[in-house]
Amino acid sequence: EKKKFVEPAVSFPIDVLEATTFFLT
Amino acid sequence: MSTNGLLPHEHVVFTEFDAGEGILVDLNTKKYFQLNETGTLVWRGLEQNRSLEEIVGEITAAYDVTPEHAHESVRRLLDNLRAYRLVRAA
Repeated sequence: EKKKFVEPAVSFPIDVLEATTFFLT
Repeated sequence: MSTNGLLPHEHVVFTEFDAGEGILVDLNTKKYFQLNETGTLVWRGLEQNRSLEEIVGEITAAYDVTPEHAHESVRRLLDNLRAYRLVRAA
């Protein structure tokens, strides 16, 4: 019944400003 | 008292999605980080000031993993969170 274990992970940092610009006739 | 000795930084905002994953936004550095499902579980534990043993217990109760493996995995994640300055000493 237990779920398959996936290693707990945090991603590399992503720049909010770059993402905002991306979210660019 | 928390045995991992870490708490989320005040300048970090956490949002959890329905799928169990989450996003951390560091308001100081204007950077965000993605947490997977088990990473989100650990973060919630930190927010609630749970001990490392309690967090590991929650993981082993829900996932097919040994306590030793879970303990090491949580430790590794905490090291990364500390390196990114997302957590501080309690």
